[in-house]
Amino acid sequence: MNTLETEETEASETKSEVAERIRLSATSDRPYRWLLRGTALFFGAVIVVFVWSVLHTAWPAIRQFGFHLVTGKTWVPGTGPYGALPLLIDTVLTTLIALLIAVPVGLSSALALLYLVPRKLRGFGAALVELLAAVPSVVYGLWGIWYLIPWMTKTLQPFLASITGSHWPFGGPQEGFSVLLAGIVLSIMILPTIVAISRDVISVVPADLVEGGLSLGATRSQVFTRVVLPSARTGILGAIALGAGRALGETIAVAMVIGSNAQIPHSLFSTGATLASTIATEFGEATGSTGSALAALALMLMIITAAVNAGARMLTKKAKAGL
Amino acid sequence: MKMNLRGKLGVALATLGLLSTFAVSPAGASATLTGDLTFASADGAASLNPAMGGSSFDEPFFNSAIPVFMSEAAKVSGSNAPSAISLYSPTGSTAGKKGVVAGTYAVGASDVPMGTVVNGTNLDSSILTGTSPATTLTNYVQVPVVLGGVGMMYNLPSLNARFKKDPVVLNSTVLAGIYDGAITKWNDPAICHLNPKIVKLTKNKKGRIIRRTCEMPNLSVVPVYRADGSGTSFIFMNYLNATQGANFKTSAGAEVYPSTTFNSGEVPSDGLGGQKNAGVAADVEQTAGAIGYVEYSYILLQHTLPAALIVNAAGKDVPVNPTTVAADANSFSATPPAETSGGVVSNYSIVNGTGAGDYPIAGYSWAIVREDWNGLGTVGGVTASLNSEKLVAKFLDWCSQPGAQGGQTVAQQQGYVPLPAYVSALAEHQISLMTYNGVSLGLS
Repeated sequence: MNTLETEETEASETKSEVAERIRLSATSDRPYRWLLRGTALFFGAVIVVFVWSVLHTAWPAIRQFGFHLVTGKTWVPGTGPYGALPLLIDTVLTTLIALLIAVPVGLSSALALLYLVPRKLRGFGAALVELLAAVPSVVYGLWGIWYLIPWMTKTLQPFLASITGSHWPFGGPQEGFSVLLAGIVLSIMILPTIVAISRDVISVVPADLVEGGLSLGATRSQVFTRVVLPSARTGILGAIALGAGRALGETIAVAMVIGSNAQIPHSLFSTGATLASTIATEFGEATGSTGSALAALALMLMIITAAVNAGARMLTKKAKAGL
Repeated sequence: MKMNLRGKLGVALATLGLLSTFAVSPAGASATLTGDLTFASADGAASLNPAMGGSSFDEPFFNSAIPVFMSEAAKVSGSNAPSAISLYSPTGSTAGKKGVVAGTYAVGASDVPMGTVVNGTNLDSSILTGTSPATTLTNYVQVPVVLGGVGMMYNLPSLNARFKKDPVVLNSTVLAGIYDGAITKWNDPAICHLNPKIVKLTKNKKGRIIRRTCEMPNLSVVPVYRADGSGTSFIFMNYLNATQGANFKTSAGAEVYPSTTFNSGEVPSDGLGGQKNAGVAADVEQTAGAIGYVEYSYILLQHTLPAALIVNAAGKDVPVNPTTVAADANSFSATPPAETSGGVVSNYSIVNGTGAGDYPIAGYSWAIVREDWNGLGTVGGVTASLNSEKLVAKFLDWCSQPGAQGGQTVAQQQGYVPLPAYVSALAEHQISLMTYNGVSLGLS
């Protein structure tokens, strides 16, 4: 481990030295430098204008309802009150369910694709996973309605309810449309992101480390859990953060399967509505205060995704420092 | 379109009903337009493409009517006929109103007439704010384009085969109870009481009936509603308002987002929201015990599931079909939509007609157009010239016409009910109010 540490520090030092040299040396092609700076500034400006305009639209609602927008328990389009607490809870809950399913499955698939699947099939398997990423989200929504709902109501929900009875987290009416189903559909949608990125980061784990582990007599699972995954954890955290970002913001597929009923879920079988699905569903007919309240939802969604990204960055840094 | 015998009979009866009320016309209806399709080369209609959009209830109508209008016009006017009109955008009723106010639509369609006032509040107060001509209600004409019924589609798998013959009967009290969360089971006494036919008979050895037990399933009722703002919701809520009064007093906007009204502002916790008519129909199809309100043509399309009979104001159990919806519309022929001096039509409701054959949940959909295009610059992507205003007026006039080549024939093929004669007359009168720079368009 010590050698790795020094190697990485040296590499990063060289990188920053090179960057500094480029910054200082390019005196001859000034126009090019300005072009690059201009484009960078342009994108910065786009982000600023974007945030400002969302804030501007949301401002009347924020001024009128204040913190009630975040803490209120009832969301009533058209007339208000506009309390987004149920939407926030459903957004976080669906994302957690999606991660709970997609992270273990995704990591296992990545390991399998790299180490266990016969060499000839690896490319094919990777292509299949990437194909999942190319399916438009509305197709996932339709598939959820046509195939997953009958399966939910006939098989999964009765089975889960038989485990816990009417108690949390599984209880109540078994309608198919639910927070749970939204989480399941999301997990399939974020799976390719998690598999593709974690496969890339796992593939650069030095072969020496793996061989070292094996030569010490570790089993396959010990090598995976104690050598491969820890040394790739920075990248894996990034993969999870990207997946979470997609799950938080996914709109159409969720709107189709969650049941569009803004309520604090009494169980995972309960219907719900997320921030993104509510914006998409209600925007078309929104007038007056509803439009502004929907912009406030957009703002909340932006803050949450930004927080997830920042959190992932921090964890990544910590993970790097810990190596 | 496939139509069963009953449907065909219904259409024939509806046409009869239409003829019988031909004599009635609203006060002030002067012009009699004829769906004139002649375009001269000076009209410059061939390349014009005025944008239209709004109500999703109207989508099947407009998207069939626009191509038929162009091909019928081509038969009369050859290469001078309009040939470039794009299809209609089903963006929703409120979006239709907003679009025509903003000038992005030449024709905005809505199931709720613009300027409708509910319990003292103007539903369009946030669209019609300010004093500019664009936000002044009297600067618009509103043309009824289609008539439709709203059916209560339900899914009770154990008894679906039987319900083809004996559909479930519901009334407004039960519907209000279902959407309010007060009625949660299909075998609720109130539902059993309305369905004496759906019973299991217990007989003794002599074959005499000793007991009748309600055979409605012990299944949770899942109320399905429109999660997006919707004119179909408006018609349904209008019906509950008219029949249940105090229980369903709603505030502005609540009609379009009905979830505000259910259970005092909260949807029953097992309620399901669907997007657009198709989403509600899909939710009902996928959920045992679900009931939802959809436009009649969606019940025709998804004929796998039945629609409930509704007990009307006269106490009769009535199915939703073109005959019963036409009967309901004709019950209101004595009180045609009132037009104010500026030609404004709003607050017109035809729910809960009193005739024995009336299906009580029905409503019109309206095309909203600026009355005078002079000085508007651009309207719906075309220059606001006399020619483009004339084209739109002629299109809407054609839409309101019955007969072999008229737009109402297209409406009928798409599962709507043809406009009653007195409403066609209203449509024509509204179109005749259109002017360019204060001068009548001079349509024939």
